Amino acid sequence: MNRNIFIVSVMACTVLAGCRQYLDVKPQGKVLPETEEEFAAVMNYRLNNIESGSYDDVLGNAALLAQYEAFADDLDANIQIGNLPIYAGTQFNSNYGLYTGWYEVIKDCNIIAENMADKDSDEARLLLAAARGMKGVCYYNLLRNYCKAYDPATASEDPGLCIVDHFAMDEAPARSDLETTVRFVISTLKSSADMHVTDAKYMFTEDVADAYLAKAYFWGEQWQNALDICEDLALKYPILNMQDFETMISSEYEKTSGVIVRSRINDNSTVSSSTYRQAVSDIRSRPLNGDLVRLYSQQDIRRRLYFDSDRKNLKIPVARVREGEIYLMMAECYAHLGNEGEALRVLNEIRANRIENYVPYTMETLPEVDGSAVITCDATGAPLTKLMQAILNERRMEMYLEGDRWFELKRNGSPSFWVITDQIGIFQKYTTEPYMYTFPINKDDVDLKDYIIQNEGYVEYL
Amino acid sequence: MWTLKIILYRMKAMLNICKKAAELLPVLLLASACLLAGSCEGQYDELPPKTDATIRYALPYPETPTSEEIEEFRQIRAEYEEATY
Repeated sequence: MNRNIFIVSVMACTVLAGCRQYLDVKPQGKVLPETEEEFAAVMNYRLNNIESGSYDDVLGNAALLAQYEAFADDLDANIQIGNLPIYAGTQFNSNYGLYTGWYEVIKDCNIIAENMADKDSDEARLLLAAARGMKGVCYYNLLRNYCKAYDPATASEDPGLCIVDHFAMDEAPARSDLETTVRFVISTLKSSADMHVTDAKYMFTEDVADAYLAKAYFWGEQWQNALDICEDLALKYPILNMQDFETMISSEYEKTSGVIVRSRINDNSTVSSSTYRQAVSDIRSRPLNGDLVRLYSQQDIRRRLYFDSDRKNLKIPVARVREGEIYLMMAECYAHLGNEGEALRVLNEIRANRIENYVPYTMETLPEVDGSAVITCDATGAPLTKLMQAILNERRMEMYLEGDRWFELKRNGSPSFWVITDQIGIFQKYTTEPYMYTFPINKDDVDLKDYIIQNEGYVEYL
Repeated sequence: MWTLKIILYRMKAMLNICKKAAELLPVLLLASACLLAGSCEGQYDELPPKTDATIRYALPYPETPTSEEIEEFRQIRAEYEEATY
């Protein structure tokens, strides 16, 4: 009998030793949440990252803003390169983290959305709206970074994104076209906005979804749709007067009036603090571009708030959506729709709240078009008018250091511009080419799936 | 006689072996089933698909600027120094 027990024990050990999977009590990536609390925990993990500004893949953190500013022309690498990348061309192989990070958030949002869609509780409703909103924001980010600037003439042929609309571990769809992608981003954000959530428990309220929806319409050149939403938002978030504007710009953590959504509302994370301090230091290592500095009049309070006498940055790098951007989108939408009077009115309203003793522009007093400016055409490819140039310049001034200028360059003609370095008399020129505005998508995806195509201009080397 | 005894003894031993084998049969069957089950481990993605991480995208080479561009570059620096010092 003892021998039988011994034999059975030996056999059992043999079998268990041969089966490695029994150790996988919770196989990584294959355990799905089940209760509302567990889904809320998934959402809260992402929200905590936004609130601490650490690994914020959704709204962006200070390090990401610093990178966009390094690529654009508001900081001038010709004067001093500092601790930032010289230009976008040095970072081809460094931006995969953004791509995979956004898709990881989308995966979480898909899991939450699919499981909350059939539930009736208030909690489920809040989670569903937040998941849809967050997913829409991530797709919007991917759209701006990894697809060409929208052109209605070619959008049905230009590569869009790989659209993953539900949770599937092994699914890897091909890239859609740009038109389909824009439509998808809009419908995703709209599905969140249509739930009319006002409770900010999960951050992504109707206003947040609407703000990003307006931005998505704007990027997709649907001017009337963008305008309709911006007009509604402007009623809730009117342009701030100078005092409130100063409070908002100087606020390190507080979501003040005028701000629809922002990252970094606490300093609970040591990672966040160190990331933030490094970004602030890096940004200050490169002075502002002289052309930008000259756009600010001496009475403009942004001159005092944004940079010092050495043209070094003073503005706090915060990712946010706020009233100024909504008004600027309104002005540009009016201009594209041919309503110059309203465009000028909105432009003057912004300037009246930023410049002391402001004298409003009239169509006659608008500055002449600057032929030497980097941007020479608007989003539709038309040459700049005086009004459109004034709107774009105002946007450049207002949105400085908010990660906006890089995408403004991309949206308005994706112009080439250069940076020259002088190393003891040896000059080297680095040119930002139009294709560099569209980053390469994750190389592993392209390598593993033949049908996933890379963006133009990226050549492999050993 | 001795030969017969030896044969009988061997037959008895064989019978004992068969008896014991019959007793062990369930154990052997169980062990065989376990071994079979153990060897049928499903195909599992033990490692992520491999890609060649050494291949990356070529970075553009810097160019030599023209004399006009160098002049413009110098003007940018001169304007900055004049405005800030």
